[in-house]
Parts: sequence; C-alpha cells; structure tokens
Amino acid sequence: MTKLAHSFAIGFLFIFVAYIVNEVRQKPRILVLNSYDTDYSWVHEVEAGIRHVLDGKPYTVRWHYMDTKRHPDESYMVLARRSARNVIDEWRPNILIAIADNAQEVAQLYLNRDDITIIFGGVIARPEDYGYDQARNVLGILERWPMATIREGIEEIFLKGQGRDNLRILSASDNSETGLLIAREIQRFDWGPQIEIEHIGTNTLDDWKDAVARANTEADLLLVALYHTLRRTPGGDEVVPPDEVMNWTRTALEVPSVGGWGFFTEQGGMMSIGVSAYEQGEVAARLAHAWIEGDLTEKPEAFAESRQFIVYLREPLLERFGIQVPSIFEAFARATGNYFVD
Amino acid sequence: MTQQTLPKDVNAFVRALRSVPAFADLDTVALSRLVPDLELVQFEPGTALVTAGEPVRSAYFLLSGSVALHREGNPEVVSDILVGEEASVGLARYLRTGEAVTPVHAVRIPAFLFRRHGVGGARGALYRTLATRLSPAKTPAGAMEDPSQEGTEIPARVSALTVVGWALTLLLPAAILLSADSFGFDWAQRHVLACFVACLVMWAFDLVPQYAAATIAVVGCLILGAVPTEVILSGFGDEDLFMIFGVFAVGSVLVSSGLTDRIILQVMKRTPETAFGYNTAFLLTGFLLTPALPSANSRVELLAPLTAEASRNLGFKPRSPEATRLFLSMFVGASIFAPIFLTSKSLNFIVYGMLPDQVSAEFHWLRWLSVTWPAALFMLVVYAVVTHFWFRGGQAPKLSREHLNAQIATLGSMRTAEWIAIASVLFFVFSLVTYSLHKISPFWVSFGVFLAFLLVGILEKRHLERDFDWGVILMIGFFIGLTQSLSYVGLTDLLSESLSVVTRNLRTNVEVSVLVLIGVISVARTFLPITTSGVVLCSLLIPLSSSSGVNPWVILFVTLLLNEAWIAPYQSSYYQAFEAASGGRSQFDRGLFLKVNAMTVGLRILTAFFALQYMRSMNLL
Repeated sequence: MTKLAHSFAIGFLFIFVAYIVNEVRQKPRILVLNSYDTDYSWVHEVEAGIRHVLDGKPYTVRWHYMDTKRHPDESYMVLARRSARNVIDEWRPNILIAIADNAQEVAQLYLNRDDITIIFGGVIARPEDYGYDQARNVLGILERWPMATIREGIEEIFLKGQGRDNLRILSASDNSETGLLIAREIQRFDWGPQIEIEHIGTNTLDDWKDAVARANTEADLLLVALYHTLRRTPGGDEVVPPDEVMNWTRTALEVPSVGGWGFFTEQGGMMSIGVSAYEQGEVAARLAHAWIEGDLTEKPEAFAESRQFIVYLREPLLERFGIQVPSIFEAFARATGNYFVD
Repeated sequence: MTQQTLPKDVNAFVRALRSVPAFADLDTVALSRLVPDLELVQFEPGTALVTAGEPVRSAYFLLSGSVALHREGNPEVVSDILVGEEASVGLARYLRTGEAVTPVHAVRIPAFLFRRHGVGGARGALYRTLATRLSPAKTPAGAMEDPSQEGTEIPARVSALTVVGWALTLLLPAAILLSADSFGFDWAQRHVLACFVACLVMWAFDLVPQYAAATIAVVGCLILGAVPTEVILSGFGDEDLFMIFGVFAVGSVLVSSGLTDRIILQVMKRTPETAFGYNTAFLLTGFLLTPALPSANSRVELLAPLTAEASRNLGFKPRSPEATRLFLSMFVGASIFAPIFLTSKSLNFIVYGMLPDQVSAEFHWLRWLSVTWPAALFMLVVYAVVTHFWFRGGQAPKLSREHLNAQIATLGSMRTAEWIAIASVLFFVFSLVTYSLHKISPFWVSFGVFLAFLLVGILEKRHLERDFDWGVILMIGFFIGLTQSLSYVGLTDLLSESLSVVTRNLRTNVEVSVLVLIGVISVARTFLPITTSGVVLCSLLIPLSSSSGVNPWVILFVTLLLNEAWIAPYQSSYYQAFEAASGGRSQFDRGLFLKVNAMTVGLRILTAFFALQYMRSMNLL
C-alpha cells in the first residue's frame, strides 16, 4: 500500500471509530439491577419479559445481579449494594430498572435525579417505603399476590370441591424483607368468613420444620410464601438451599399446599396460583421504552400493579391428597407448561 | 558457448546443485521443477558468461572450471559458485562481468525460473551472498528490487478506482444511515445494512483483504449492538465452518508432499501421446484437485507452473494454439467445476452457511456431489468435444522423455510424506462415503480428519502457518454472521422481494427464471468480484426461494454455477493469479484463451438448464 492508500485507510478508520463512539455514547443505556441471581427461576421469567420488549431496540442494556437470595446476611448486603452503586456511578445509565425489593434500596439513592430514571418491578413493599411516591423520576409496577384469585381458587377447590364449611390455613414464610412484606399482605387481606388463616415467620430450617409439623396437626392447608433465606442454625450464615427445603417439605407435609409464586410448584409443591414474573419484567421494560421514546413524559398518578397470574399444578401430589381441580385450572397449567407429572 | 544435454547421472547433478548454499534448502519437488528449463553449457577460456551492464537473462551454476568476476578492474577468480546471481534477485542488469579463465562446464538457469518457482529457500541465501560481494555503496540506485513483486502482484499504486472505492465506502453507508429512516428502516436495520454495504464496497474495490472488510463490518455491528452477539458471531458456531479445517489439512498434506507433481509427471508419462489425451488428462487433474483445495486461486497457482513445464516437455512452442489449449485444459479443470463440490471454494462455504439448517443438513458433501455429478459430466464431455474440434489439426505433442525422466528421477522413489498424502485422501473420502454407516456429520468427520492429522503429527505448526488460510476461515465465519444479521433484523425479506421474479417462475417456468438470473448476475458481475456478487445474490435469493417453496439449494447451485462465469480478465481473480503464475502472455495466446473461456460461459448456461432438468427428475424442483 502506498502512503496515499494508507491515508485513505486511516481516514476511513478514524471516521468509522468516531461514528461508532458517538453513536454508542448517544444510545440510551439501561441497567437492569436484579436483587437476585440467575439461578432463581423467577429471575429468568422477569428477564424474559424484559427481553421480549427490549430486544432489537437501539439501547445498550446491561445486567447486574445482587444475588441477595443466596446471601441474605447484612455484611454481604452492604457489599452487594456498594457494588451496584459502583456500576451505576461508573456506567451512568439513563434508565435503572430495579427488580425486587433489595434492589430498591440502591435505587432510592438516585431519587429526583434528572440524569437517571428509576423503573421498579417485582416490588412487594409499598412505594412510600422507598420514597417513590414523592419522587419525580420513578415509574414501575408493584408485585402483588393475586389474593382474590388465590382465595377464589382455594374456595373452589378446598371448600366447594371437598364439601367443607370452613378451612384452617397456616401460611409460612421466611423472615426475609420480602417475606415480612408478603406476610403483612396476607394478614391484611379479607379471606372471608369460611377461611381462618394464621401466619408463621421462620428464621431457620428447624423453624420451618416446626411450621410444617403445626400445619400437619392444626391446619387443612399450608399456604407457602418464601423459604429461600432459612439459616441452617440460629444466627448462622449458612443458608439452606431452597431445593433441600422443598425436598424435605414434600416428604413431611401431610396436608395439601398452595404457593403464591410458581417456583413453589416447580421445586416440588402441590400447586401455586402465582403472580406472573414475566409481566413484572415486561411492564417495566415497556415503561422504560415509553420513557425513552418520549411516549411517556410524566410520571403517572398511580403505579401499575400486577394483573396476571399463572396456575401451576403437580399431578402426583394432587392425587396423593385426592384433590380435584377444576378442568379450567388444569388446562391453564398445561397450556403454559406448568403442569408437572413427576 | 556450446550446449549439451543434462548429465545422465541425475543424482550426482542434484547433489552438486545442492552443494551450493543457495540451493541447499530446496526440496526434491522444487528441484524437479527446475529440470525442464536447465541447460548444460560449456565456455572456452576468455569467453564472457555474463557482462556488466547487459540485461540479466540467466545465472550459471559452475560444474567445473574457473571464472574471473570483474568489477571496476578488480577481478576475483571463483570456481564453485553461481555466476550471474543478479538473475536470482531480480536485478535488471548484470553488475559484474564473469569471464571463463579455464574451460567451464556450467548449468544455465534462466532468470524467469527464479521468479516462477519462487525459490524461497534460495532467495535469502542469495541475497546474503550478494550482500557480501557487493558493497551497498557500489550498487546502482534502484537496481535492487524485491523479485517477489515481479509478475505476481500488481504494482503498488493508488488508482482512481481506489479513490472511488474509499469514497464509496464512506458515502454509501452514510447515505444509508441518513436516508434509510425515510424508507421505514429502523435503527438496527440501518446500521446492519450500512456495515454490510461498507464491507461489500471494500471487497468490490479490493481496498483491504476480504477478511479485514468482513471483520470491520462485524466489529461495527458488535460495538453498536445492532444485533445480538450470538447472531453476528453465529458463523463461528456453525458446523459448516469446521469442515474447511479438514479440507485445508488434506490440501496441505497433498501439496507439501509433492504428490501432485509426481502425479502430473506420471500422467504425462502414461497418457497416450495425443493432444486429446494430454488435454483430457490435465482437465481431469484440475477437476480432481478441485474438492481438495478450497481455493481456485490456489489450484491454478499450483498447477500453472507444472503446466508450463509440461508444455515445454511436450515440445509446444510458447503462445502456440497447442500450448494455449494445454493451459486452458488445466485452467478450466481447476476452476469451472467449483460449484460441483461443496469444498472447492470459500464462497461455497459462505453461501452454504446461509441455507436453512434442514437444507444444509440434507445437502452435505456427498449428497451435494450426488446431485451435481451429472452437471460435471456434462461440462467435461461438452468441453472436451468442443475444444477437440476447435483445436483440430494442430501440432502433435512430442514428449521430451529425457527431461521427463530426469524430473521423475529427481523426485526419486515415493517418500513417506507422499504415502501419507495418499492415505489421507483415501481416509477423508472413505469417511465421507461411509456417512450412512457411522452417522457422524460430514462436517465433524472433516474436522476429525484435521484433529487426527494434528495428533499423529502429519500436520505440524509450519503447515498451519503456511497452508491454512486463516483469513478465509475468519472471512467465512464473519460473513455467515453478517448474512444471519441481515436476516435477523428483517432486511433479507425486504431486499429479496426485488428478486422474486426469479423464484416465482422457477417451479413453473425454469427457462424464464434462469434467463432472469443470467441478466441479474451479468449486471452484478460487471461491477462486483465473484465472491461479493455470489454472497449478495445468495443472501437475497435463498430466503426468497424458501418462502416461494423452491428448494434453496437448487437456487444456490444455479447461482454459483452462473456467478463463476467471466469474460473480461478483471472479473476473475483466479485468472489473474493464473496469468501471473504461468508466465502469462509469454506462454499462451491470451486472445485465443479468452475466446475459449467465453465459450465456457455458454457452457455454464447450458449446464444450468441441464442441471435443472436433472433436479426436476430427482424431485428437487
């Protein structure tokens, strides 16, 4: 190549690089900050919803996982929050999609900033718990158990279906931040005159075993929320793997069980009427897209709430407890790939 | 000066030639290629072998006697060297006079041999020899030039085309980025299209190597995030790409062993001594080499010097119709059958990667050949018959068995490397043919051959460095990714609508479709090189054929067959490589060559119609 040809090549390279740098800098940057990690099926569903909307859009999307489900101890939380802050401060996203409650503790540090918009999803807590109700740069969708649907399902299957007049329910959850929030929702909900419900919060595997034992003797049904942060020993750091908890529960539990999230049935529970994680991701991503494209210029008066739910069924346990579910439930579970036969 | 025949004791001659440091590195294959052009000469005392200031024509290797080398009045008497070394380093004129002091017996080595055979091992030594004898200060300015540049590469210069090329590389993508919005293209479509077009323009104007152009386009898409990484890099996850490793491995073993030289010499020796016999033999040699060397340029570069030697051995005068015919037979054999084999060209691999998975799984190496062999047979027969009548009544070949035997003797008996090459080819073919038994994809069989060669040491690092065209592998991987990206962002569907007339009629009216395709390809090939136009056309036609219910492989084959046609030399890079490697116009009649080549364009069109009828009978249409 002669010098002139070299000059053309270098000139082209310069223009090429300059254009790309400029284009990449101008592309909207979206950081998806997830409280948990990808080994949690709920996270996959949330991500599927986000990708469904954002794939193919001219945005740069990065993903950061705080992994607080496997490491619920405070010392780790501090590290996870600091790491997330570093990513945000360094990369300076235009949009921060914060998923689940632990991520909101980081997101709330960026309230009322002009250079960043917070979009939350998978949040059980009230918006005011994070100051979102007063902030001008926050959009999002609240995750709410489909309480009315759960009650309808329970009434249909366990009262009407089994000819009962009343039902004693024990609800159990770990005492994580989300677990405490969902316990509050369960206790506040009006379950009607035929259903009596009591909630037990658990810290350790032994606490959980005690709750299951109580359900076996005192309840007709166990309503399961979360069991992901149970410690092996009181005050210890070791978290019992959720699969281990569910394997034990499946064997020891002598009454039917219902979960409020799909992962309960995926990991061995009898049935779930669960909030749609996909919807949480999809709605959050749609809000981000609308905000970037200018279709949404002001914060809506009210935050969105989850509206979709999914039915999950596990056939062997239904048969074991002699539970007949309405055919529409079974059809729904089969159609969505959530009917388990093993 | 008197001339004699070569010494009868070839082995002694070879030993003597090797005793000179400059030739010590040459293998027997390279030495055997020198033989047809060497002459034994004698000089009486006082006769000048070379004269300072005169044009360089030969170098002389002294077998006996002494020569005085003069420069500026300081004679140096030498007796065991190469006189006229200027020939070996591409100088235009001799720098010193060499005069026989005693009766001299020498071997004359024509200057063109150094260029044609690329005496790589010798070249470095010769440069060093010269450097010790000639003070740089005394070397005339501009006298030293890199001989590798001569005759093989276009002189480095910036033509108007280069300027236009770079301007278009910038302006066309810029126009796409600025205006595509008004055509309804979204952000990702604009950027993928801009990167793709920039790549094609760089290819079309030969601004940078093909793999570099593809890399720039892919990196652009990657950094911009126009398509997901798994799409843009999908070419490297495509099993098609792995087949080329096996093909390179077999080709490397075949060429480096020198087996091709031996085969051609034996073919010459055993072929009936008729023009038809020799030309058919060369046609078939090129044909058989086609699936083993995945580059038409490599094939013609390998075979062109051997053909030149054969032409001289057969007593054909340079530029005679007989010599031209022999060159044509080799060239056509090595190039025209590229669409017949999956593994004959990098372009085939690229467009094969564009096929839907189920179609590419169906048309693996052997299945491809099972459908294309009638087309190959048709082309072979028609070409052989037409050229037989075209060149009727020419000079009969007169084989110089003395030179031929000397060459064969120089090669010696079959060496281990050659046996390994034969075994490798047989193993490769056996593995492909027995697919129905072992059920392992031919792509992985091919890659397995590569791995096996590595493990048993048949392939060494030097083979990987010298014989594997990593640029081609990069280009194939990146370009498959680029075309997948076009499809991913939905551009292929939009663009291919413009060619729907071709596939719309293919199922019902083959003739119309092929005629339209010929028109489209003619226009494309006027402006674009073979690879570029092939990629562009296939990337548009294959998706369209799928949606039209026409077997995409059929479209691919017909496009490849017609796309390879060329009339003007600028349209074919392998013709240019062939001219450079064979000695070009000094060896054959270019006008006649191009006329016969133009006939092969018609042959391709006829073959396309023939092949389509055959495919119809096979229920592929």
